[in-house]
Amino acid sequence: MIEILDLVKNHGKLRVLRGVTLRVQPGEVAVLIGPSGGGKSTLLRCINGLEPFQAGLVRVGEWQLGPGRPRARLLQRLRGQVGMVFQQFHLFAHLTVLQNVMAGPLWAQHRSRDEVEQEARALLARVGLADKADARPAELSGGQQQRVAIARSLAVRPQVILFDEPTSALDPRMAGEVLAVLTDLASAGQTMIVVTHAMNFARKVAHTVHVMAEGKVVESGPPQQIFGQPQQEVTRHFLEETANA
Amino acid sequence: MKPLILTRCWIVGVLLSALAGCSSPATEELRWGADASGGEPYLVERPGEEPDGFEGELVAYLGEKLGRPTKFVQGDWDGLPQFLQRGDVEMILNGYEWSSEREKAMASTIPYYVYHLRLIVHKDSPIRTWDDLKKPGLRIGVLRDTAAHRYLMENVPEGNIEALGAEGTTTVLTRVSNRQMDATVQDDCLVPWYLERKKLFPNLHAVGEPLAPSANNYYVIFVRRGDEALRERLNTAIREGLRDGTLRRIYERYGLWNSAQERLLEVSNHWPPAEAGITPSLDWFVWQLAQAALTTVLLSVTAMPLAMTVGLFIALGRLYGPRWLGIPLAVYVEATRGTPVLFQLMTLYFGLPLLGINLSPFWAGVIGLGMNYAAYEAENYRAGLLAVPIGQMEAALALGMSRTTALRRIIAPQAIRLVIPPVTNDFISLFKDTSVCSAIAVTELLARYRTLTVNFPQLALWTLLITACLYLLMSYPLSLLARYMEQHQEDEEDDPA
Repeated sequence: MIEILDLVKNHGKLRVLRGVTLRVQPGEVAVLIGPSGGGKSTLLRCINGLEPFQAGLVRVGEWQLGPGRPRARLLQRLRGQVGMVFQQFHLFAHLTVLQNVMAGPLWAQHRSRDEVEQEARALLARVGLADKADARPAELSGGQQQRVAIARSLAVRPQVILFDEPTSALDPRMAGEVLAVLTDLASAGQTMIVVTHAMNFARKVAHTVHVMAEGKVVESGPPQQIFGQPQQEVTRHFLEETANA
Repeated sequence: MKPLILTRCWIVGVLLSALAGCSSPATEELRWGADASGGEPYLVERPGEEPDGFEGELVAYLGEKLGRPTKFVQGDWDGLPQFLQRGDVEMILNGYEWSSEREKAMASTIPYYVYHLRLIVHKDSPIRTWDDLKKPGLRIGVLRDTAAHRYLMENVPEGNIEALGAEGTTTVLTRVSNRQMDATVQDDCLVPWYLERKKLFPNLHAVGEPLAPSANNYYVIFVRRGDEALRERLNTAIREGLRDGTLRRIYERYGLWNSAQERLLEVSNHWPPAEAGITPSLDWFVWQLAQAALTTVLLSVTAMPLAMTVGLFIALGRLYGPRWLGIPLAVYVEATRGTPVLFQLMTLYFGLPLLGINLSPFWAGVIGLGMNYAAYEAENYRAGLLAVPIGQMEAALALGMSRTTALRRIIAPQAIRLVIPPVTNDFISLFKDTSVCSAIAVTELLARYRTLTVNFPQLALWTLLITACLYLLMSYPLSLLARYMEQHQEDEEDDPA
């Protein structure tokens, strides 16, 4: 289970997160939506320790992060449980696709190469890219790169995967490829926290939708409730704007 | 048009007068070249006046006899023969030993001084005789390209010799007196002056017999070949000075007159001597230069890895180290890049011994070049590391890698490809910068080139050509390598995305 309690995060004088509390159960798909600048991406980055925070708590399974700079060892352990997929993919440019997927298990978890390679090839097959194992990232389309990035984060067998606007840098067709993979993961019971503007995906796949605005979770609930009977003015306003866009 | 024509006329006028100045060097002033940094008792500098010293006084006497005012021109001792050839001066004298090789390139006057070599050591030194210098592992200081240097090159192991420029005379004496060097071989003029008169180095003494390194151990004045008229007038004046005791009186003021000088008049009757000069074979020349080229290569291939390693630590320290480390490292980089490498080498070689740290010339050169280039390599690495997008580090950390692993596996491999071309280029410039090590007594290619040019002026052109070829032979493959790697990288970047 993932638990975020009263998280407060400042960027200099700007308060980006003003006491966020969130729980995600194993196997749950939590989708974060809301206007830009509401703190969604920052929240994800706090969960895996890429950003320190000033108050509150992050708990992932047995690992727990507090305010300030955590110890490197703790961060490494926690990150082994929390995968992350970035908007800009961030594949390792000097490695092949297969080596990208093997990087985590080999260099962070020190597992045996044979086992890791077998598993990496299986993961590539799962995201539909078995034939690209020896390609370089630069030779792939954006959608393919993002699918490799998903396979790479799956390879460390995390409890939860954080998706930070995984389709925002992609055109609709490539976004479709990536969302199909996410849907497949969700049905396989992978715990996920997804920041996205893809409302259809949220509607269909999410178990819980959290609306974030101005550094707070303003409303949470199943998709039918959030999209059908939004309780908060902010949510209504946001949904109207995205519908019109 | 008019102003243009006028300008042209003016330029032509200036050129003509400049040419005239060159072709018939000053009809009044007698311009003479010497190196004042060679010091006493040869020359004693006097601000705003012609120098004193026994050679200064000799020139004053000659000028008076020739009825011409004299004008001292400062030059590097080993470069002065070229000054003379170029016509910048009419004559040079500064303890130039007569040799048949020099006689071929320049015209000598009759000798004005009979010199001997003296072996100077610390009073507690076990060295007692000339033969003691043959023991390997000694440090023997000597002035570069002098007869003393030549004697040592022929008689003691090459590794024992530390040859320094003219400014090194007192440095060498100081070092021998501090026992940082084992001995020095100098012309005998220094002994009565520094050791007996001035008593500047009370713990030094001369041992062994005064040694004549050749049958014709004389100081002479050189004029250009073809300027025999000047030579004859100088010869007449010197002869007269020897006869009437003027030279003796000058030399006695510096404690230099001795029985050997009495044969000068006799020698002048059969001058120049018919000593068959040995012009070395081309093979010997190439061999001499190739050996020095090897030192150049050794310097480069030792200094560059040092620079690359130290540079890496500096770059990593500045980028990822604790904040308190950043400031001294930044200061180091700026101080190193902000001072000349020659100055840094001199600090290591001449300065450190004052603190009791005594580096051999080679290692002073390696450390100096290495530490200097480390600053540049650090900046190369830093630029390379910063050029890798931040997302690469975040992605690696998000997989659970430690910062160190991420650096090693993800960041460094990408940075290295960016860094290879500038580092290769730096290797080429370091290779060329090894030539400054000649200032701190490393016999690398440039130092050997100068020695050979001074000793065999008649072969100066050959020496120049061979030296240039050797430098190119060594640096051109490096340039090719650098170009290949740059090309290689561009190809990779052009790969279809």
